[in-house]
Amino acid sequence: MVARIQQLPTLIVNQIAAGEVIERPASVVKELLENSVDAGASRIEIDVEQGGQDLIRLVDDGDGIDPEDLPLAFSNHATSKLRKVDDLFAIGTFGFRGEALASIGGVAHVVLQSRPPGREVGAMIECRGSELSPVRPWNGSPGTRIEVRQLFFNTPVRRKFLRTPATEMGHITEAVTRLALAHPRTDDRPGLHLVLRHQGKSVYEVTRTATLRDRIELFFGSDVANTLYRVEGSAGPVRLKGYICDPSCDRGSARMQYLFVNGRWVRDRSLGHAVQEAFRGLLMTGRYAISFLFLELPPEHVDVNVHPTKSEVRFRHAQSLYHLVYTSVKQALRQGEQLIPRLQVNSASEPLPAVTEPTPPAQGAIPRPTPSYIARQEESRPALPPLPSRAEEPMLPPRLPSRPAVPVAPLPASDTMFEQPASPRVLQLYDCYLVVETQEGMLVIDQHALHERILFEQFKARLNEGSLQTQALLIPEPVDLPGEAAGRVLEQAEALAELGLGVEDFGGGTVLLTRYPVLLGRRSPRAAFLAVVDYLTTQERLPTREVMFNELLSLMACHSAVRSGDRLTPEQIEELLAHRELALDHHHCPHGRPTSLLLSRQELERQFRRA
Amino acid sequence: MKALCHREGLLAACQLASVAIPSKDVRPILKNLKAIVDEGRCTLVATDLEVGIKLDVQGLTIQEPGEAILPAARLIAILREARDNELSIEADANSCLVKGSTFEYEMPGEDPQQFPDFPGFTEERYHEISAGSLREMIRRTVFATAEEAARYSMTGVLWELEGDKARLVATDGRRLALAEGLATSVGGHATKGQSSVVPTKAMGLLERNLQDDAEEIIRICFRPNDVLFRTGRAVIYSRLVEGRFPDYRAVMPKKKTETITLELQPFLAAVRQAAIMTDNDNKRVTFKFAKEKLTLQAQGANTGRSKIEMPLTHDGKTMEINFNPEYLIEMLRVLPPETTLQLELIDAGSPALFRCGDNYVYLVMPLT
Repeated sequence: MVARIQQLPTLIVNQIAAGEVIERPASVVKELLENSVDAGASRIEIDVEQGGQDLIRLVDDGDGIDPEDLPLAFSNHATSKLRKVDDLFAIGTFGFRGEALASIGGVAHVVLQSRPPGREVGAMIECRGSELSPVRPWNGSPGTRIEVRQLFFNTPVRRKFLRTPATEMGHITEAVTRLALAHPRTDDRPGLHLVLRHQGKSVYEVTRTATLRDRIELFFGSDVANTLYRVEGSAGPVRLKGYICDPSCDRGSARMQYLFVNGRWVRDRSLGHAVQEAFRGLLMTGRYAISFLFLELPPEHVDVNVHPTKSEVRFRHAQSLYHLVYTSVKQALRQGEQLIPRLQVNSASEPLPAVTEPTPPAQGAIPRPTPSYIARQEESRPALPPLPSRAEEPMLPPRLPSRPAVPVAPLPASDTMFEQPASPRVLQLYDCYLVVETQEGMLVIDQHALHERILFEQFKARLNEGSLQTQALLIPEPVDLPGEAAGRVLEQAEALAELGLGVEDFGGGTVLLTRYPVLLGRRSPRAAFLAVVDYLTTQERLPTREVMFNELLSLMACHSAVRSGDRLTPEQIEELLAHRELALDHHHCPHGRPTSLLLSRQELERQFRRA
Repeated sequence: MKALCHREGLLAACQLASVAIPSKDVRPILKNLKAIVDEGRCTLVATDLEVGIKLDVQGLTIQEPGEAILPAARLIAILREARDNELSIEADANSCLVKGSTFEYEMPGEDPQQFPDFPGFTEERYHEISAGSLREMIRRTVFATAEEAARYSMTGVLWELEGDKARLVATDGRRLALAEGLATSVGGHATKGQSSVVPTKAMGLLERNLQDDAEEIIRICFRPNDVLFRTGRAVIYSRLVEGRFPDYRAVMPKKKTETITLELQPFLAAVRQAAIMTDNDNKRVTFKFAKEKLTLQAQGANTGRSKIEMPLTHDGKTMEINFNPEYLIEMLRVLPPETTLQLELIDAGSPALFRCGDNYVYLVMPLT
């Protein structure tokens, strides 16, 4: 009788392991890159063909592998990075599990050629689905050269799940980006030289002299690199370094929040949250900060043996790290001068040391000296140890003399607060703001935000009445969308129809816009539609219907509202102000920004010492 | 050049030609008119590089032939303000001198060679259409062209010239106007197999150049990338709109449920009356075609409600459909007042078709 329980053959063991570690070509690149770095390489060149499905070749100038060790390199749990159990809790290298090469060898055709620098000749070995060839001599330059071909040749299902070469290449580029960011030139050591080529064409070449800032500019462009603030902080043996971006340079997802722990890129929800919390009030909902943070902490403070690809780690003192990240980012943000909306009283060279992030109005609130920005942050996060009260000082631009802050309160919710004169005197500033004289004081209105709010409520009211008028198109307008987006839009056709947008499939990533809301007037239906598509495609999961309608409506409102920079005629201004009375929540735009600020008459008088 | 000009004649000519002058400052020299004066003839040239006109000016006494650049805006202002019947213009590359009995203007000149040229009408193959018929066709279509650059291929009027038939089609995606007229082909000229969408600006320029003279015959020649029109006194050049004009035949309804006969004047009046209660957000006017009676209703958010009734000779099914009144008014006002229209309806969600005689069709999508 045959035993029912059997030891699995090596090939199957390796394929199972590969399933965890090697998910796609980018995982191969990541594992090989980390091996090279662990081998002390200072220069790594990567060649990729067909998004890694045909070929991944990596050449480094590291320590190499001795000929006699070559067969062992492909066997499971064979590593040079770990000797005894204790080492596992003080990992200084990227790898240690001894899985990577075995896994890759299990699902691909690998040629491994290596020559340790001290040796006259090197050696090579081939591995095809865990079957090893004999070791043969190889005459190459010192270092290791590894070629991975026909990835997933024996796991057709995995191969089927691969995306287009362009998508896979995107993942590979991301893996290279992470490694390159983790090894910049610093004061005491040169950086890692990295070359990435796809189909023989250079994608990135990062030189060893490139600093972290240079690398950020190379990968993300000068928009990002020019708005960086340095972050520095420490708590006991833990150090935090890196950069954050000015809140004006934000993104629609958290993908640009890079976190490295001891040089290893990781994902950590808690620390990501800390970054977002530090930016609270500076970003609009749904927007994410950009950050490049590097944590250095003793190896025994972090357990990296949590996840097969080590993209998640466990911290021993998670709470204090959260605090460190939060306060350091906060500190860095204070370096930025333009962060806080200020209302300047005069145009003279000495602007007043004003104030504050406008707070959402409390019920029945009256204009009051607004609590400082920092104080508000503390209120919202009582769990954190309070910051030193002196911390308020750096908030103010240092060149300003210390004078009382001008209270700027956003408009109170109640309309009874001030009565508009029959025809208020209005001034348009910078083609962007309306200054209105009211009983209460001087009202500054953001024309775009206000119009956006008005349109939003109009859209919403129509939708609720069920009387959203739509104009059908005799000749539907074809709109080309990326394939994925087209599918997404068509899935949501019904919801879009409720918004007055008719879509039909035209095939080949093109959709036909067949009707649009009359509300758009002469504004381009296409632009409003594209804004909606943008939203649908950047959201990772589908929002609830209610939320989606609100979002879509606010997008459509935003794209059809007058912009800042539009010069308004007196009639338009009058109409805008008249509608303002009708809007329910006219004091904030649908994104939560205030539409107006009030500089009270009282305050004006106090500033001019008239009181 | 040097010439003695009749003030009003020159003013009219300058105003006509200046329609082609670009509104934006792309190349400063294009803000001018170029005058070409040779034996017994004076031509004014204006262009924005897309559209151009060469216009013959009458009533000049030529004293010295030559070419010159005339600053259009200033010259028109001078001609408009002056009281003399005659004045003299003397211009060369250095200066432009305008003199009358009581005034004298001197403006800097420019090198006439710098002014871009475009082809004249030298073609042997062309179509001929009478000015009256062409004016009617243009007026009945040009208003329906698209404004947005996003639908670029619709920002002009499609011309189809085959044998003795001319057809003009314009659409902005929401409505479509199609006008037909008689034409004569000379030398086998036809537009088949080539793009032939003429930009709206050139159509306007052409229309303004058509004289009230019933005898005037217009020659039209389509070439691969441009079109030339020869009127009694001008040659108009225009590049063609690139891109594929939508297949208008495909959107023509293949069936109809009801045909309703409408007298234009009372119908237009009723639409205008109903439209008073529409506003920017509420464009909907509901048309209810019942037995012997048409009821129009509109309601705006802040404006109020309107209800207009008019008698109708209709005894078929009751039909209800919503339109943006602007799309109807724009069409109704370019038709002769004493006209009977046929309205063909399918249902409230399908395009409605207006017919005026055998040679005009207007298709409009309803609102829902």
